[in-house]
Amino acid sequence: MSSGFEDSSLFDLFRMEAEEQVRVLQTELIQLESSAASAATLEALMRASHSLKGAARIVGLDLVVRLTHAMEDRFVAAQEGRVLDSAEIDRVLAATDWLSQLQAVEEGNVALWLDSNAAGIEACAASLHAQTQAAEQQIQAADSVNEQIGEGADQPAQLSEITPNRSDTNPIPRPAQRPAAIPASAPVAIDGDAQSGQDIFSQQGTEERAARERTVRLTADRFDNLLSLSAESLVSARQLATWGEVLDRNHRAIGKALEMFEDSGESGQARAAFRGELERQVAALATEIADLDQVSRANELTAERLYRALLGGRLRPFSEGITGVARLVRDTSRELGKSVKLEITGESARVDRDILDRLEAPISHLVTNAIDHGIELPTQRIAAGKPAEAHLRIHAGHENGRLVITVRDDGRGIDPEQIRERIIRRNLAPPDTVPGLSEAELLEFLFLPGFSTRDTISVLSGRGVGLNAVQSMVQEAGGAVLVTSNLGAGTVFRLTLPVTRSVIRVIRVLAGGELFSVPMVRIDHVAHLEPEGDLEKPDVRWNDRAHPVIVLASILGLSTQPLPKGPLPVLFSGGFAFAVDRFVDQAELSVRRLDPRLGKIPGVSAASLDENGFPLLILDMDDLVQTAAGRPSSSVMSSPDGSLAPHILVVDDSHTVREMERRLLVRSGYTVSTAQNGQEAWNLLRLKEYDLLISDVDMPQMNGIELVGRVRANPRLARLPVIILSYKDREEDRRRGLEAGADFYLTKGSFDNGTFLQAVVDLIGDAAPVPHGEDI
Amino acid sequence: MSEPRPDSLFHRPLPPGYRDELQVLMAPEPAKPAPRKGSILLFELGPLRLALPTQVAFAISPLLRIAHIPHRSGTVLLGLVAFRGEILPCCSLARLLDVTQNETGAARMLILQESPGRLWAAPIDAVLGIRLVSDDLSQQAAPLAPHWLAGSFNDDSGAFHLLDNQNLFRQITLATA
Repeated sequence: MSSGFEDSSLFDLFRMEAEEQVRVLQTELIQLESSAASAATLEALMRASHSLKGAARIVGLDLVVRLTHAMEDRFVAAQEGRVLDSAEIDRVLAATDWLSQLQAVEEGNVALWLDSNAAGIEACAASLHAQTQAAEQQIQAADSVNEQIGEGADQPAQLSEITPNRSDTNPIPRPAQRPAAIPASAPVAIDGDAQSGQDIFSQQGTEERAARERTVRLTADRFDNLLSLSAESLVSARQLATWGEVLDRNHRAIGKALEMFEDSGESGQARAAFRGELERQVAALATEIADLDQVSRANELTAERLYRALLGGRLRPFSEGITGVARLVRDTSRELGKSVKLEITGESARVDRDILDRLEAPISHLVTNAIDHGIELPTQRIAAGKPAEAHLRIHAGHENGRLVITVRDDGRGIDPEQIRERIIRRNLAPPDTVPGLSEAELLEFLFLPGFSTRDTISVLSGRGVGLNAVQSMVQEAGGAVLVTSNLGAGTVFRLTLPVTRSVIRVIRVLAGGELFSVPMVRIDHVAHLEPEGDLEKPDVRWNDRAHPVIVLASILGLSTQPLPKGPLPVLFSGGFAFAVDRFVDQAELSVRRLDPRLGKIPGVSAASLDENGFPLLILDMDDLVQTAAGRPSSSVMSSPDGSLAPHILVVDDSHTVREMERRLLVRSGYTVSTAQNGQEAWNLLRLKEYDLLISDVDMPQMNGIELVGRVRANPRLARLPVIILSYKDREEDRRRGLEAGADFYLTKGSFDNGTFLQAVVDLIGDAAPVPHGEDI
Repeated sequence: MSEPRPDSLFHRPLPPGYRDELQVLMAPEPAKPAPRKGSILLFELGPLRLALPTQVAFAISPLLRIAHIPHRSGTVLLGLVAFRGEILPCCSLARLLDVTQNETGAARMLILQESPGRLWAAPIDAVLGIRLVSDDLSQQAAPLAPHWLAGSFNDDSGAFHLLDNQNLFRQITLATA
């Protein structure tokens, strides 16, 4: 039977094993620290490190074999009674950090990563060995003391002589908090100091995970179930296929009966025979329709079960998304001198793995915030009449088909007056309206970029990026975040997320004559409203606020029609009212990724098939809101088309010349695209808008003269400025170029930067130069 | 590696290897390899009578509904279509090949397979049949630029032009990216 892993490389398999075993190691080590070492815990630790060692050996990761071997030795020693203290647990956790980092490294970069980090990993393994040896010496010395005591020695042995140095001040060799990206071309030395200040919530890890080939693990039982359901589905589909023949037979029989009727003339007997035949056929048809209905229902049910089973394969327990949180709470609270008890409930709540992948960062952020901002020092808590140990609770559960996660602390809460003061100081609202803001409205300010209630910046928080980042991450996952607080009693963050992203509820709308779907989670409100105010910049009022009206068809580049008069169907999202032709209906759609060949399409996030099997685009409302607000959208930022700088197309078959021209022009502030020959350039010219074409002459497929000729013959492109830049410097060459329609003919042999750039400026004007030293 | 200063670009000696590179590129284009023996699909696109190897002509379907893509209208990329449960990019061969006449006359959808799993849809006017690759492909005058063609041949009904499918896919990719 298929394992489902045929497409996975050995390293992928190691990575899966490592993910699982590192999770066991970290969970059990935290458990070990918080309670007495149980035989079961030590057994689990030893087995996990042993399994990892075996997996590393299979894929030939000798360095990892040595590290895991050292871990295993230490756990075996612990099983023999040589317990691990807190400092030693730190060392083993540091070893698991190396393994976590390795999981995030792309397969092609593993050897490079190991080389770059060999010293650190070896040092970590050596420190574990030293730990094991010290523990053994401790036991031997203790045995010796026992022997001495047993022999009735007069003086007890000095414990300081036999106790290993627990307060070892050597730094624990541990990796940077997040794996550094390793470019394919050059090794990167990871500077521990430089990395320590890195934002631990950076997207790097997520990007690396996303870059890796996506794999889904299925248990053999689930796989068997899926196979069985797909077999049922196949049988049902084949049953349906035969219905075509059955109905066709029936159709022919009715046709024959009609012929009998036509042939029957006035004969009563023939008419009776016809009626009898027709009744038989109608009865047969009714039976067949009933059977077809039954098969169709069975088919639908099987398809539904198959879908649910497949979806189930994507759903993972919530606990898998927060594996690092216990460690984070331990390390952060220790670092800040606070005492925090973490309680996680609802760990088994099922979540789509896509959502799960996005959970750890925002939750970690909230947890760090809670410990750093909210939870007081033990002395402060006691003075406030609270227990010295704070209580941090994370709960996950399903409510109305949504996943709801709460992060609740019993710290000092958020002071609304302090927020008011910050709002006024940062001029975020008119001072006279701030006193009237409700507490809920005040708390919304916490999610603004750069808003912080802290005066000082620490490594952990105070930069004001935290909650804004949390909100962005949650919104990106299709959810929302809400905060409530009780001054002196604590703060609660409530994250509401979809359980899955593979199926979404949408409103289908018609815009510019095209059907689009808009995810419900991105819609604040829908209404039919008449625009008011300036004709150029109309708005509609909702919720006591004016919302600028944006014509959806226009922002999607489908129409330039003005707004019709009268009430319009509008969707409210992100502070804007998007006007559509009409609302069509609501639907549940399965989400399909857009074909990567298309690149990022502005304003579109995904595609789907509707119930009739027609393709349907799902709109990216965040992108559209960004565009509506006049900010460069994520899609536009990466596109040369989004730049305001004049856009030049450089065509040359020499990579060297092409690249040098490009750099020269980019340094002068222009946006530049390149093509290798006339045909490529012609395709690009027809696809996009350019301000200037600079072309070589001698090129394969289509030469520069032919290209310029086509440009001049095309009604849209006829007025495009053209410079020819060629090695051909004879007068007849120059004449040929200019006759074809070039505005300038420059020769490479007598080329001068100043002349070249002056020709460009003469034709399309200046551009803002790129600041010196900026990478191009 | 240090980067040459741009102001010395064309004053300095030519970059190493430039002459060789230029010579290779400027050398007469090698004759296109003769198409393999096999079958070809004959079809009509506006006034053109074209052919493609059946190995790349994956399927013919009735005209499929095209979902137009924002910001891409008027380009070679027409939109998305659904074919056998898959969503495929749909491109206009007429626009790519500069066939300006009667673009709306398309009646069938040609599904092209660039490589396994990489399909494109393209509206065409009609399918005219399937035949074996002709032995007597010629470079006769065609209403298309030579780089689009692997050769031309005549049959009883007139001339057909066999498209160079490798170049075709390369240009589709470029024009729709």
